[in-house]
Amino acid sequence: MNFSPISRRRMLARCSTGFGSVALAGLMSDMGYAGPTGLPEGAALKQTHHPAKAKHVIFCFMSGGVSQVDSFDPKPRLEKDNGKPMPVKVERTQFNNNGNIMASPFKFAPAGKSGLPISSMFPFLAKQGDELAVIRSMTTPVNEHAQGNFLMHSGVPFMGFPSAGAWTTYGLGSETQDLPGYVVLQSGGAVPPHGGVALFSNGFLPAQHQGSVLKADAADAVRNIKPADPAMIQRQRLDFIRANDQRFLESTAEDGKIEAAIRNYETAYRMQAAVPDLCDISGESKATRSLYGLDSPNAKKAAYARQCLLARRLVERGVRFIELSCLTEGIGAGGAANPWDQHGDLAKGHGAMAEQIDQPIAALVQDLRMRGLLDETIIVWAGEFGRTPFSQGNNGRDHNPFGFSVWLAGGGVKGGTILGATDEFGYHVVEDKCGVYDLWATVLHQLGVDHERLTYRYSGRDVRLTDVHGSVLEKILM
Amino acid sequence: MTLHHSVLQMSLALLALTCCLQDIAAAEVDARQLEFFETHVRPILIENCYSCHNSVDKTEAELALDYRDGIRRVINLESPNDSQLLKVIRHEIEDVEMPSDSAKLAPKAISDIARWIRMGAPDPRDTPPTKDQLAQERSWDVTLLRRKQWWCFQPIARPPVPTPNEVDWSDHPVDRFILQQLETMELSPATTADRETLIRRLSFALIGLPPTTAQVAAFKADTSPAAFENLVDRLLESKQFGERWARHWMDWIRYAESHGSEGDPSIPNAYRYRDYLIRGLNADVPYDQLVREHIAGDLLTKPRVNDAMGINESAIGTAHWRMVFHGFAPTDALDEKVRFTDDQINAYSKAFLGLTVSCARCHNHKFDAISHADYYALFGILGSTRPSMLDVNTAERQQLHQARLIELKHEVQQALAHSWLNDIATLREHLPMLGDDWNKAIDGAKQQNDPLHVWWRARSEVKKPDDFDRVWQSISAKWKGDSSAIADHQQKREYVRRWKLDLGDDYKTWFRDGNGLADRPSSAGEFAILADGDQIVQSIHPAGVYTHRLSTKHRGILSSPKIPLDGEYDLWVRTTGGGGAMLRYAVQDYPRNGTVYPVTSLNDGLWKWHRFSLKYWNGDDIHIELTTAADAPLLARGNARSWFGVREAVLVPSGEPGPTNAPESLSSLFALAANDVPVSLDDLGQIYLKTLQHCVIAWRDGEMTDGQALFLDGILQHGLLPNKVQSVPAVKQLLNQYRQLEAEIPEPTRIVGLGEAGGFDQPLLLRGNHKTPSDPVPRRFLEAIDPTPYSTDQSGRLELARDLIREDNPLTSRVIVNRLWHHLFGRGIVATPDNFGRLGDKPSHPQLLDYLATRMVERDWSIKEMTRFLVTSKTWRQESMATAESRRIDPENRLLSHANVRRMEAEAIRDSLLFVAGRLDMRMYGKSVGGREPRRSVYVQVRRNSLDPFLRVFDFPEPFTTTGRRDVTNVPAQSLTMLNDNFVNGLADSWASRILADKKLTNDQQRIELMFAEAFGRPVGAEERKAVLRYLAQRRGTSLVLIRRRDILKSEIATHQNTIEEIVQPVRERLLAALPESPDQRVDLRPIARWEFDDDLKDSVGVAHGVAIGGARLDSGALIVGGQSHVVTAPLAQPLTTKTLEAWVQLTNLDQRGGGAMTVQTPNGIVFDSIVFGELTPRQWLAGSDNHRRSQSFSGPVESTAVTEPVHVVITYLADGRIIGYRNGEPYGKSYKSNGPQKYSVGQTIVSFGVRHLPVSGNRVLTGRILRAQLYDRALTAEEVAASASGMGNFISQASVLAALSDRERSRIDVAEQTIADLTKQLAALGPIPNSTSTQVLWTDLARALFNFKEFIYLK
Repeated sequence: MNFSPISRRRMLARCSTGFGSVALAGLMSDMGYAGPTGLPEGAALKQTHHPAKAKHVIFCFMSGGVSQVDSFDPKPRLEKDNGKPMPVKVERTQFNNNGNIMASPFKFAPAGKSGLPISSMFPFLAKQGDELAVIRSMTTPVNEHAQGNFLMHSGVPFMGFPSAGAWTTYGLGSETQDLPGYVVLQSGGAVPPHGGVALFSNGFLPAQHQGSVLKADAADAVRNIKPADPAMIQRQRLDFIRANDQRFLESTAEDGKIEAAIRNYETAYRMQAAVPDLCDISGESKATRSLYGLDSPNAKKAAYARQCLLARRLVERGVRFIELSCLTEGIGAGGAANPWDQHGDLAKGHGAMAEQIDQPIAALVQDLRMRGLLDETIIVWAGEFGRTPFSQGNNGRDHNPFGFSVWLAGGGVKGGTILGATDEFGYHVVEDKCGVYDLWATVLHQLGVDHERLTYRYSGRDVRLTDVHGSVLEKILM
Repeated sequence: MTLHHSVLQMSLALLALTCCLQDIAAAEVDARQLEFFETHVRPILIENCYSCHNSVDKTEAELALDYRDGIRRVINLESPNDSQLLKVIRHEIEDVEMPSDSAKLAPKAISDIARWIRMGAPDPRDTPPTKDQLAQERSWDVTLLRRKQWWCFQPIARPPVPTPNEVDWSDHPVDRFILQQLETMELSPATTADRETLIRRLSFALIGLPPTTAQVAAFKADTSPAAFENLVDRLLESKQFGERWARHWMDWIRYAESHGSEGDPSIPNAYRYRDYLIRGLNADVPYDQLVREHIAGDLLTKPRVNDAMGINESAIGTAHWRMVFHGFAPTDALDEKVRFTDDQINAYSKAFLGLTVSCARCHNHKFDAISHADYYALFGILGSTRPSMLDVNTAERQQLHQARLIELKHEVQQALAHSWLNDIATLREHLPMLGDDWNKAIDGAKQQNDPLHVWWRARSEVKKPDDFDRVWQSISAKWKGDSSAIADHQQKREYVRRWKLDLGDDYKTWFRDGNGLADRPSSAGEFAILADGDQIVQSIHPAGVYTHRLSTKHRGILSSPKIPLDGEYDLWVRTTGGGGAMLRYAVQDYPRNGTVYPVTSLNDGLWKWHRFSLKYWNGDDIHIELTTAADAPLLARGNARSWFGVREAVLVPSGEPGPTNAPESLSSLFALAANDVPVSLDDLGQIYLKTLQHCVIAWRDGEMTDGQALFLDGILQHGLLPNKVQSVPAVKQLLNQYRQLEAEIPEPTRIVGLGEAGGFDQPLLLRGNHKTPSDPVPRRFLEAIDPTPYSTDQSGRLELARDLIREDNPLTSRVIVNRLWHHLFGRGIVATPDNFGRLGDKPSHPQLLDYLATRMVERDWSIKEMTRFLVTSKTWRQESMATAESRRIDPENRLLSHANVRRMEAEAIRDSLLFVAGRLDMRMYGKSVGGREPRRSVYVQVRRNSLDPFLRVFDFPEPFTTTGRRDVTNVPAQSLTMLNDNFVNGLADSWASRILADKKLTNDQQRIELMFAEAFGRPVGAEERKAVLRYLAQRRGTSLVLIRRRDILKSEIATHQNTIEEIVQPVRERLLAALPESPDQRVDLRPIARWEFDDDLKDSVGVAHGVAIGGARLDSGALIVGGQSHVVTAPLAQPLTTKTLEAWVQLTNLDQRGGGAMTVQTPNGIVFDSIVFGELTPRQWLAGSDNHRRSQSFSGPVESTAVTEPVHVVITYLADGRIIGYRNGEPYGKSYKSNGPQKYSVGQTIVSFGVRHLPVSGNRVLTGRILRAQLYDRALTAEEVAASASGMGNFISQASVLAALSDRERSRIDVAEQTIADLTKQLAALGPIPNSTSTQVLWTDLARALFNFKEFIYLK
């Protein structure tokens, strides 16, 4: 097991005191904060590198790629030259079925006091415009979904590397022992983006940092979480097992690994209760339900709303990193794994996708703020690339990695701001070019972590989430 | 670090260099101290400090350590120990641990620096170095020399076996080495483990399975001194040995069966590589041979042949090169190539060399003796190959019957020609009389490429005899144009590039593989005989390259040399083919197809020019590739038979016209006509037949032109030449013989591999960026071992294989013995088996490692011999109890004073569960299976995007790079799996059944004994047995309590439900009674069919009477469907376009998905419209249709009441395509416009109930009750639907009942409902109560508990 040296040392110390003979139930005592800048046990860092602005991350991943020119990056030039050929060089696209300039079917209006332009796709988010810091100059080196997804998650365009969620829990530990530190929410039949569950991988980091998929609307929300027996029977069985394990432990001279495995059963037992408790939203008020759109007749919106609500509940329980999954509307090539991928039928497809996520995410922002949690929670909204300002076929848009928009909110981010710019077509970045490394460097920074100093020795080098790149995007921070 | 001669030399050279540059002060420093600095300190500073702290380009923390005054700033000569320099390298200051990005310096290095400071830090470096001086010190040549001093690059020593103090402990060499080191630390070895522990440990180590109880008993009873050795031999000989160790090997080369990314496409036949490993390890094929095969098995002149299977084993080894990750349709193809080649280099170098060569992709390795150029030297080797598909059948099998088939084919040809000539002669005699077949063919020859086209044109344009001249002139003029276009194409026109594959010279420059492709192109007249049917010849071809000359089972892969695209071009390729053969251009060797990677499938057997626009790929390298269907490098098809033919390929500037398509086949006809100008249609007929005659003669004599071949083939395809077995009796016997032999040709045994594509030196990529290529690096091995470039025009894989196992390569043998050691002892002598470099661990027993490496080579690289040698040591047989001393002195047990307790690997856990349950299917080999199949885990499929969750949870590695040492983690998901997973619980059930069914066991004590013996390989203790019995009793008691509690709750719930029913029932009856007698009396909406389901399945309006299938039945006025049961009606008596489906439905549960309540469909179910529940979205109603052609989500509200009461669901299909849903009379969600309405024809339309569409299958079936249904041949209006819903049903809705209740009744119901809700909650809180306290349930429970004992998955 790749424990950090610290925890391994502690574990060994514990083993030598015969820890295994203590009753199990009491073992997993709460491991809260060790101090104002200290971090929970199990964190690779003993304390944050600098005072943290945020403690949690909610990653709203817009799988498939949202069009920047239809959402957060208005381009009047497209309207003016609608239907005309692109006057600048058109780069390679994935389908090579490029049409002419296509105006956005959505209208932009200034939102909030800041006047941040947000398109009519997002009427609810527009009301939270003063919370959003939009980065209009995001870029990615890859132009296909799976590699793009891996890159956005781990900084490396293929499987095997830890995702940002894993890095975060590895560095900062988790404030809850009853739930995984990195949770990926799904509902309503949502599936992992292209690349599969490896997107949520711990890579070479210890396995407890792997993203756990939690199906927000399923009885078996986490794989095998549902006890196969009544609690009473299970308790009896665990006690019976424990007695035997105790004998076995003694026969190995109290081997530390076995002791840890024994303790592990107790954690699992508690998770069995913690997860249903998390998912039981019957105690949420009617106002909250309707704020999120939980009872919307649009079943997909309702399903996504459930994820957003659970995200808040996970934050409340101390979970470090939460990722949300969009549901497909099945329009214009947007399949289950890439719902925003409107190579065709963009107006309809983006419209339906926006309708699905707009109210729930806006509600999440608002709800976190009302509960005083927005300050300590940073929300990241991003897809794996943007879309072309010219059409694919006659009514879709192909992938565009050269410039697209993502936004951050909460956690010390300066709301109502815009960073960077694309050219007048929204095609290439022309100002403050950023990449995924800058994005995660910024998120880590807000979490109190210097991204250059969160490393793990693997395969002959000290690896980081930001590879050898990344600068904190100071301009969007308070 | 040992100081070697060369480093001393180097240092002295440096000394000389620096000395002459220093001023006089340096000379005063004591010479010996100076030498100490030069040999012990300066190299450390250069290697570890200068890159960040120098005077020239980087001064981190404003510190330069490359001259005296600079370094003195962090040295305290007064109090050496307080020197900042020492503190940071000793890691005494948090967050300033130096060197910052690599491992802590070796203790020797730290003490040398401390010693040097204590000396007074003598330092000849008076002034900061100049840029050139610093560069010289840091130059790669100097660095390489220095880095080659690292232990793993040193030659393998032949250390003598040491003599420890306790010589009596063991004379096994391993033990001597181990004991000697233990003694230096004053530790002693543990005693030998008991026999139960040993056999269990050994069994898992060697075969990955627990011993059987009989094996344990036999071993315990074996008193012979060789008992353990015999056991080792038995296990080494077991077939399961290969399965166990193949899986380890698969970790080393990141074995996978799919490429990952979008689509996760399969790596075809990857399993054959897994089977190859199993066979190879079982046969103890020497390791060096396996390595050779992995690198270049397909190129070996003397491959290892498996006679039983008729295959070349060696070639299979190369499949690992293909187990890379591939992106989907990347727009930057070169980027993708750099990435997958990096994947290959990464896995290869870690697996076989224990080095991280990939770290040198962007610059020289940061720590190891691996240069940037080394990386591109290897890249060049792999870049000189292409992803390909191999056939590993032996040459003998590949060429089976070839000679005889060629002979037979020739004889068939002669016999056919003879018959055809006779036929033509007769025809000519009878002209102008022509048979029907000829007339029909001529009448149909409207295409200008048809050889009969001219005849057709003459016939249709010559209305009267005088016309002929004029018509013929016009025809001739047209031909003049055509023939000059043909000549222009053949001789004059200049193409950007042109490959005439019908000529040997061009063909020779292409790469080819497969028994279908000959050494040279076929000349015109090549033909293929059909493998079955009554036709004989398939077609006759012009000169070109063909794969199906003898059989369409033969395969072919033909690819062009690399074509660098230096402009915008179109590619034209002239091919024919059938059976799904593939034509494409590959960009930068990317093997997948996708949006901008088109593939053309060849199916129709016609000659065509295929055009590909290459404009998009301007600037990239491509190659043209043709393959038989199953031989594409990726996304190959399963077609067993396919073929292709190709004549030429040309490149033209984008948008310029392509090559001519003029009818070449007419050349010989016009040649004849030029000499003998026809004056009438009859003349023309004679010329045609004469031409044909010439063609057949030329064919027979092998002297045909391309035009003649095309002409003859055209006539043949018209069916105008006898080509049936019946019409050419002379051929029959030959043909039978031919076909018999053809049938015996074995299908290729395919596996992914590499194809050689010409030696190419890869330009070094600056900073690893593929857009900044620099100078080419010659293909060669690592310069630390041998920098000599390979002199080969091939890729260099053979040379690379040779270099891997050459005697003076100290890595390969050390790496493999260390891997074996790691898997046997739980920790390698080098604890980082994939990294012997500076960031890896150093060997705990370097001499032992060398001793073993030497031995391994001397014993013919035998893996089994080495395994046997290691496990028969006393060290391996120690017990696993750590003493207090060993914990204190050696907490990680590096010195092996006892055995390591180990958790079993994922596969061993899963296999043990299956084995103990008695369910393990021990069949070996073959295609991979799903994780729920009871095969051994090594056979569970490894799909990158969906790895088996059970195995993953126990640290089965993600296949993306070499994993020599798996993580052994401890996470709650593991406990949850063992506690709750259905798979595990099912196996517990099987195990309990087996134990209970065992007649030999007469009481519970015996049963418990056997279960302990099976699960843990040891007898149950007396205390344990009692505890188990107590547990069983306790469990029975608990179950009884719970069952009683549940029954009480259930009966209470039932009581309250009765109360409600008693209140509601009279009201409902009253309301029912108030309804008019017959619904039809009030509003007649005139359905065309109605099913009441009261007493029968009859259609009370029309003739669509239902038939119950699969046990569908009627109950209380409703049709009950579910499982496989449904109802199908007789066909409707009228066609349907616009329509309305209406049904009253009650569901058994709301979580069911995709069942249909009522469906209009074709009898085969291919076209249908249906009222479907929960298909696209759970709990929603949907207008289901074939492949969702007319379906879209209504996004209606989630269904919540259809379980407790029937709902009325209507879907109307309007003429304009609009589809509207209604639920209980109200519009349901949003209507939408479909491309319907679908037309259903009379007699071809039926209705079904309870199934989405036929044929019936699990996910199409609805579970519930259908109370009534009606079908209309028009779309009802909203008002009509509302009327039907409100009045016409023979049920009363809950809402109307509630409305009719008195306040008091309502409040009583409220109370009862609240109570029911509470009770239901209590019931749910009890959890899933066991159904009984049967023995089976109890013993299953015990089995589950035993599976969860740590003893089950941890080995002592």
